[in-house]
Amino acid sequence: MNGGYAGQILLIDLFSGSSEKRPLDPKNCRHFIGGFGLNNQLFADLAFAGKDPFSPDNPIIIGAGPLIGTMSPGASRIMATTKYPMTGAVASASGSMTFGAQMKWAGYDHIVVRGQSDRPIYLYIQDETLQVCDASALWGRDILQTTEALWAKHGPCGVIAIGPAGENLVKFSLALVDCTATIGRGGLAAVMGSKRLKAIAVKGTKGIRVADQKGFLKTVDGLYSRANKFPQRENVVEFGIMSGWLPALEREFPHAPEKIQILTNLYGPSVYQKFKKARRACPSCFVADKDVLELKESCGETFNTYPTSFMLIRPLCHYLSQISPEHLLKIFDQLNRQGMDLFTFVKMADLLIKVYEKGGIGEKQTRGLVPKRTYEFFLQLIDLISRRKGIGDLMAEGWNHILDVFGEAAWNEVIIIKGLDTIYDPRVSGLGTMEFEQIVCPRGPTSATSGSPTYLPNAPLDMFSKHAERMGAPREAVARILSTAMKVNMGRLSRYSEDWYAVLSSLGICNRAQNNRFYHIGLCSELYEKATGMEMSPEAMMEAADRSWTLQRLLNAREGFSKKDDLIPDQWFQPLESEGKKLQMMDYFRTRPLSREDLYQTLEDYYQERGWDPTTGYPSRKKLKSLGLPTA
Amino acid sequence: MEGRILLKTDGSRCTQCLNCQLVCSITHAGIFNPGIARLRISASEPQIAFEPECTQCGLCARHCLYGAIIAAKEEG
Repeated sequence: MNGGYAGQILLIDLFSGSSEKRPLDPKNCRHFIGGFGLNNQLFADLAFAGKDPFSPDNPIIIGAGPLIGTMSPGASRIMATTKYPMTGAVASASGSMTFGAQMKWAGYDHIVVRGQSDRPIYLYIQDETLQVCDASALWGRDILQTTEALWAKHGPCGVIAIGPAGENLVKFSLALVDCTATIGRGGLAAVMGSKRLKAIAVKGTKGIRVADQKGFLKTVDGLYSRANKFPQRENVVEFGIMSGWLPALEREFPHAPEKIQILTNLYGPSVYQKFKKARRACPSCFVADKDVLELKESCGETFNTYPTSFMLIRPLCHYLSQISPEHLLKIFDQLNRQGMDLFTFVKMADLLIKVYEKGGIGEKQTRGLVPKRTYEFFLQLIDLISRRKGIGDLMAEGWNHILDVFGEAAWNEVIIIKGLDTIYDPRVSGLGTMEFEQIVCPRGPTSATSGSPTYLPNAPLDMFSKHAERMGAPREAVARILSTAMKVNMGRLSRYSEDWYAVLSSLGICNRAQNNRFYHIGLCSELYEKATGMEMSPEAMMEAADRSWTLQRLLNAREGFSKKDDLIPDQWFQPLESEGKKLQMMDYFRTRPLSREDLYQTLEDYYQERGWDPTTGYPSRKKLKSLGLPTA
Repeated sequence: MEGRILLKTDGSRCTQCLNCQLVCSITHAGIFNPGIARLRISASEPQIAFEPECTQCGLCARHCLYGAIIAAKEEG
């Protein structure tokens, strides 16, 4: 390998504590790029179908793409591939901060963890050396305490750690990278917990080369120059992700401008400034989206919290009224410390309160608990779930168990696809790619894989063709995307959003809109070639993305997933009551309400655009053959 | 005439993106490796310190995205 790639896969067996290093196969690199793509290929090679997510045979594969560890802007995204307990699907979740760069500098593109330890352990990897260390003293401690203990012992290093929720196999637990970046919505932390793996820490001192140093730096400098001239650059430096506060609320409350004003007064950018202590960036990132916030204890002492971004208090404030930003941040801090998914937690708390208030469940089911929309109750519920005590034990098992116990009164109150709660509702924002993708994403609903202009409210039509071309959609596909009565065919466009996500995540580039807007497929190809010295045309890169996404579909087909799991929620066809209004699902441009037929057609168009059979949802033989994937 | 840049630092603006160390190491050692860069970033409360072998070439300032390293003065 001439550069970009570190050239090695580290395979760790937790039963024996032994490890093995395998060289990266250049042919696989050309076919799957790295990161997301190669993780899928490794999972196909190393894992058996039909295993329980908590089986020792379920591997955790961490992948760091070929641009990670270099200066390519925002190239710090690692991917964690495993069979996730919330959905039972083989999926990849992304995380950032320093773990990926440290991995690459230590000499590894992928780390595979298999087996199960008989006692709590953590892994410390420094260059060629792997230490399997006793974690008895860390077991039970929260993620921030754990990470800080590892930094105190080993010095600066990349750390993926779990909290008590992961240890206790809470199915919607997640891990944090370096105290602040979430990784693994859907239960990565629980898979780590099942292996008694408290943390993985990695430090690299070897560095990473690129094949064409001069050419690579010239391209990268061009990118930084464009980013520095970006008109909103100053705003991004000052506010980070909070610079997108208003557009995010406009997307969530297009029908209630007064609500946007109220929320902005209570929790908006000026409030953020009062808590902001510093911001942290992932290596080579020009957005610096990770906040360090200062909070006060009740005794008056201050402490730091690392909530990824202040912006993420939005989902919390929707479910808790009249609550101070301090209390919201303390709830968020606890979720992070315990290692729980914020989005799922607030929906579970909301459901519990609603069903209890309607009399659908009583204190027998809540085990004596009286659910309320208060700061104190939310903290209590976090504690119960992370320790699996009382009602928390039921909630830790995930949505299917909750809906079984809560019964009919709960079924219409929450929208679940593939066992995971939805994040976006097309009745509020119209049907964009982010709403549609929740139906088809193998991972279940996520905010990651479906970027497009529909990320913004009221995006103009011409932005869609430019965006599709930037993502690498061929000209004839752009024509198909735009030839529809709904102006933009979200099913067809979603295919290219997924492929673009696969390109970025395979290279290691952050797909946040604030970062990925500076990239296009030609630039990705150029950076890859200069970093690795290997040829990869934009078309070949798009084909590798298609191959990787299709392989992910195959991996889940062998787990029993099919078209029946790409569920169009019934609730989307019922009016949603919000802020005194009744909202109907409409197309993104709000020209008309959408029917079931519209959604079925969008789904069929998506399958067709992917080259999958619209009647079964499986990749066709022809498609598999063209991608060189197994047809049997 | 060879210029010399004097670099000023402001740790409070540093986000630990490591860009300064990355450009330093690739330029002076041909590899992306913060550990061999000619400047150090301390972890918790960021402070930026230059190693004795730093020639104040100014590349780190040019690649600092947050104004934490500034090329303050050029001497002829």
